[in-house]
Amino acid sequence: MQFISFQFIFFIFASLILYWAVPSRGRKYILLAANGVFYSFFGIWNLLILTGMILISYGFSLLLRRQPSRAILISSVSISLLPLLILKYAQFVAGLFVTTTGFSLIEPVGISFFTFKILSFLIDTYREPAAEAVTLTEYAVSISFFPTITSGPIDKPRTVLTQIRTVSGLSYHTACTGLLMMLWGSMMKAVVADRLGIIVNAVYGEPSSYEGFPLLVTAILYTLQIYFDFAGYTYIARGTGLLFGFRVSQNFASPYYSRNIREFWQRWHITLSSWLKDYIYIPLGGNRRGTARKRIHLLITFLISGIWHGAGVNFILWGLYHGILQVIGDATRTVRSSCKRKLHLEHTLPEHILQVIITFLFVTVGWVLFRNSDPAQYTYILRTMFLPRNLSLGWVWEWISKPECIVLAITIPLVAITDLFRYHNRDVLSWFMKRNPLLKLLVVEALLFLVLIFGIYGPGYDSASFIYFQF
Amino acid sequence: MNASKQTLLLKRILIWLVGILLFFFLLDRFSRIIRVWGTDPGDPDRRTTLFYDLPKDRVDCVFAGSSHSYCTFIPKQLFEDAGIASASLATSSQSMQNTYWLLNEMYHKQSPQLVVMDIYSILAVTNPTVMEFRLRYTSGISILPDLSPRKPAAYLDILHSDADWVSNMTPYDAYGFLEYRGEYRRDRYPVTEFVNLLFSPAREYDTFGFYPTTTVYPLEELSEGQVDQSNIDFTTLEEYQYLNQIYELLQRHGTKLLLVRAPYSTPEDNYCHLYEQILAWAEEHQVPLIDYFALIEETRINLATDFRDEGHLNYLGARKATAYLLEYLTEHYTLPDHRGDSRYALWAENDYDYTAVEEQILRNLSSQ
Repeated sequence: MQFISFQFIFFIFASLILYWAVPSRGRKYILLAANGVFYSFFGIWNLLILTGMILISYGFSLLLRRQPSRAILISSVSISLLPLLILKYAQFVAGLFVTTTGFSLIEPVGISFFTFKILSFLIDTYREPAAEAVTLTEYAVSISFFPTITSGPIDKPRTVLTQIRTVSGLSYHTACTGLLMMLWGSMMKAVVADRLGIIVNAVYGEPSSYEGFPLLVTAILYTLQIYFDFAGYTYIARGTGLLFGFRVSQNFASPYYSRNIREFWQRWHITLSSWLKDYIYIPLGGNRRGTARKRIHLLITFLISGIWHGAGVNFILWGLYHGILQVIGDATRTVRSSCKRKLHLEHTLPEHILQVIITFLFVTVGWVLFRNSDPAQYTYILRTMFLPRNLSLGWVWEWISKPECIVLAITIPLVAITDLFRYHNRDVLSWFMKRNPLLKLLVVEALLFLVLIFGIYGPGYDSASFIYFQF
Repeated sequence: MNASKQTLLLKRILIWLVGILLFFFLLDRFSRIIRVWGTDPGDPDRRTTLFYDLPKDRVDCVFAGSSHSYCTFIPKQLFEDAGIASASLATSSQSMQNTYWLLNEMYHKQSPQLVVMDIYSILAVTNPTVMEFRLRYTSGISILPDLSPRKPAAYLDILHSDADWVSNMTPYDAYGFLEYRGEYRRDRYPVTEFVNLLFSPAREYDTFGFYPTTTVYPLEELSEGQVDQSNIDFTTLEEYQYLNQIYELLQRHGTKLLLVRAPYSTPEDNYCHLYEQILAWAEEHQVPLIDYFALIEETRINLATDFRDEGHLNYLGARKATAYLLEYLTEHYTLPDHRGDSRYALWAENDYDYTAVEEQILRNLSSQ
């Protein structure tokens, strides 16, 4: 079942009616059923694997509560990781040694996400065995929470658990906010991301046909596409969560306005960064064991991040790339500050803008690795995208029409402006919700028609392929 | 509930009501815009979408049926020569079920005196190619106005059809802007054309549903197909059920029905003596049937020059077929002459360039 589909809308409203109709004690069961129905649309094997993982990990959590031993923790983590390792990475690893593996395995949708949630729960239980007990139903609901199961955010199960127990009612304001977030996310995904994807898929389908400027433009378009896709999805997830009385964590905080890679990772896929920090970086020692060790820990953390994103050498390289950038950034921080001071650029607007542009370009280069799994392709693209050749946009019209560009020219700046306000900690959503009802109505109608008319959805198009869906 | 809470609640209800009404209003407006108002020869069905936008109670004669109908009868010619205001509801491979619902919707804006229906829609059940075509295209249901309260009933009725092609139908095939998105996804229009068509100016009422073609495809003979020994019983077909429903619908509204069999040559049709059974039905119901197969000499339709392919007349053939029909209508019906009536300016001032069509055909002929 795709998020951008009439099926999903129908499913949401049917679930909501049932959910709010029952007394509060019964809501978790309705939600569990809804989670099961939603996930079953991806195939019965997917559902069975998820159910199995929930049951096994819950069993381990009970053991850990009774006896928080390192051995049990390691066993539980290892066993919980096994499905992910086997179903997602086995074929890749086997492919490193043989030309054709001769097998293909079911890779449950969102396995990377819910595995991390499970690991988070097990490790937290080990760290705090005396924390409040959790029933199997509550645990299952928190892991399988349908708005977030396929592509995050990776909320800590205990965060969801607390909300399961305290959900009381749904206010008019919250419901409207939730619906608006879903609409906004749909616009980002269906109108912008998928439209950009037309050009990106076309050019990256045959990159050797292009050289220079077109490849740079495509790389930038992909940078935008992945953000609009993932952030759009997150808005839909958060909006849906609100409708059920849950506050799902924010996952993006205007990442492309970041001034350096470190800030970028504080603003991009925030819940993954938090997870990696809490369960990889800090346990390794963080920055408490000297500068050299800190940098090694950073590299390891980003290597794991790369591996988490996909079973491919390009993902590993992408992760390492960001790790190296972090290390370089850390190593040169003092020198850079000193240079800026001497040039009187520190804390100036030109400096800020320059930093944002440079960070954006570094991130864009990383996305080239992320997007292209073929070494020959990404090597070619990286080698040629900065060459001053084919400095025109004529090739774009092969894939997208001028009216479609108008659509993008309206929607991308719209999101960019709201992101800019959010970067400066202005709560745009709250501000908007306080506006005149008629104004709000007109904006909502405009967004609705933007999605209905210009959204790319419908038969023959798999709108489930949110980019992060594959993880 | 205190007064201020009550006021707040009422305000919210009002905003939502206004929002919902505004939504449907805008949806209707946008549906008209974003439906592909095809002047593109590659998609004749799109011309038919304009039918329901014709001014109220103007149309005296409606053409229904499949491509055999929209390739054969020229509304512009009927108006120019006799002032008959006509338009076509025919679409590619239109099933009788679709015809019924299209005509049913028609009565909410038009009250024609006559419906001229080509019977190939019924005969086509014996042609596997045509039925496969129906599998891929729903042909007709999407033309119904999106906000018509009768459309859900039509859609549900079609879903209950016995026809195999229904299994492929989705709401995207039935509803204007959704179907438009489906079209986009079915690659009938490439990506670059999609939004261009959205913004292209509507050329209103170009041909009133007629599809002029300029290809010349010489035929050796007309063929109604091979006789299949299995002999289908017409009364067991869904087409029979809907033919009767159409007849009753027209009767209720005081509209006369005229059946026609436009000329074609498709040997892969399995004849199954269906034509005779339709003829028997027509006689039983006192419905006249014009069989162009028997009128080739009288209409002077030339097999060598007047067909665009095995199944359809080209513009030259359509002019002859329409001329014959006009004679027939003048003799057997009293359809008003609206020439000079300013209310029929749409027909009178229609400036579709038929001259260019004719010139192109003559060029094609001379190049053969």
